[in-house]
Amino acid sequence: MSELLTLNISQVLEGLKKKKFSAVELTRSYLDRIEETKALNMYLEISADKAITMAEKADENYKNNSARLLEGIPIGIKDMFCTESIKTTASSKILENFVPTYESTVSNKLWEEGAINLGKLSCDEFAMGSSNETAAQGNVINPWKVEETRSPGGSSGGSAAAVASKSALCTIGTDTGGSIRQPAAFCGIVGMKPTYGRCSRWGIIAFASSLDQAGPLTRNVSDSATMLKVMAGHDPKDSTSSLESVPNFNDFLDKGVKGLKIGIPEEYDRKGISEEILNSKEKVIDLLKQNGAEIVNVSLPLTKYALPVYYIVAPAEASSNLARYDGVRYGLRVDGDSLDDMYEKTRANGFGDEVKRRIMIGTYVLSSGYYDAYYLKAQKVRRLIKNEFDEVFKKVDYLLTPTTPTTSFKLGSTQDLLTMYLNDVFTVPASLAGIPGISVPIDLDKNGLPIGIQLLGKPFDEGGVFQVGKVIEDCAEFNFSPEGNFS
Amino acid sequence: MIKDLNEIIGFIDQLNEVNTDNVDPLSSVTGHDLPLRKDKVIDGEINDKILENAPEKISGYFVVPKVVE
Repeated sequence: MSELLTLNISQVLEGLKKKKFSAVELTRSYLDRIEETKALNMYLEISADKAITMAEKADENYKNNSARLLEGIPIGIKDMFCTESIKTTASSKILENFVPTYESTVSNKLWEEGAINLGKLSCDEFAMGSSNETAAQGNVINPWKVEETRSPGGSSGGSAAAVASKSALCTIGTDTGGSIRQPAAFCGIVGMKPTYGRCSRWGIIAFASSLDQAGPLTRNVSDSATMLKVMAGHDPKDSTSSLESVPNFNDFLDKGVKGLKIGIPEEYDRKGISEEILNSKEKVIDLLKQNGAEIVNVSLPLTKYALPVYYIVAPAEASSNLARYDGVRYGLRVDGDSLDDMYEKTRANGFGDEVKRRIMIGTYVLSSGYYDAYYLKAQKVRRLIKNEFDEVFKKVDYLLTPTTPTTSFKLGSTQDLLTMYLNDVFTVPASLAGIPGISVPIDLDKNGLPIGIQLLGKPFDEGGVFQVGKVIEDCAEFNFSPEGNFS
Repeated sequence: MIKDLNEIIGFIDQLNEVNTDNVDPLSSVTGHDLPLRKDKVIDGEINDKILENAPEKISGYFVVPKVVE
């Protein structure tokens, strides 16, 4: 493996600036690495030619001293982002031949700052899943303990595994109920879900529109801050995107935690959570105390209702959003005897089981007889959950919780649906409230698998989340990488 | 599949334990009203692009199975 692959974003930017290596060299190293790690099944599409062209342009810009914020940074893109002229499938058979004629706002912002597009990364089908096993093209394999064929988490499993296996310098993903934070925890990297509205959703294949947010998956907190600065900002094409100004998130990184109040919600110490994860959380609490933070025990009694709310709201929105896949304008068409028959055959053939389940649940909770009992009820409880966060943030500045109840599990080992859904028990509440959250790797368990910790902040306080996240990262000194033969 | 759906319905039924009297439903967390923009065309003349991914098309139209006998 080339030495270049071990560098993080700031090191790469410095190396390119000082002409220690070229963007083309760096990009070729990543493209070679992608070939080496092919067995992990992460990339659905590799845009090698395009990447080299972009890298040549980056080198030119360094020569002319006109380098931009991410000039020459090789990035992998979750297949939920539409990329112009590059196949975009959302890991679904129904979009297996879809080639967008436009570029998503967030990916476009990366290219406008000089980043290089390595290709498209696998995820759970339409981002619905917590293990990457619902991808039509087959699951991604977690690079940690690769011989044990474990899940990279999901839905952004390809994005997380690519960063962990050094098959991309960094990647972008989407998070609806934990889809950035949970795979980041499983793969031992940093994953940030920003405040709802921080990044534009335009050009992202819609799953649950009131929850979907884009965010970066990176080697460290500083890279995450650099990436989010470029990704964030108002977009007239997404009416829910925020007008809030985007600070330079890197300015927050060295401020420490002295005097900050960090809440520990008691409801997150629930049954079924790994003892080792709880122990590493205690270690982080001690380290934060030593650095001058004030630790406050808090209570969020409605936490246990977050998952049932999510499994009404998200499928309801999904069933509406996915109505567009009817075989008429794009995507798969399966011929039928009539228009209705064509619709039915197309959808029966094109969607996988998990997507079908969610469409049916969503349609059911929105149907006239059940709308009040399920959908409206869930929206009311969602308000109560948000109120609970608003109240707790009057007492504390941040909340610290485990990211996941367990570390990565073996592929195929979780047969029970509700057990699978419980993966997101700690990440879903923040999604419902629309607040920012980061997962930072802190330790390995006794099997050598990464453990992540989640830090949540007030709306639009990503800067502060990075600030505390950096202290956690510095204290935890997580310097491990997955080892093994990936080919 | 039916077993799965019943299990999910059973799971979401827990919400009945929560008292939501006089609570307004929350449909968006943005806290801002949807912005208005001028009612003018911002792009257009992209007929070909829109049809590019169509499974079947003829003379600038999407084609579907016959619906009128």
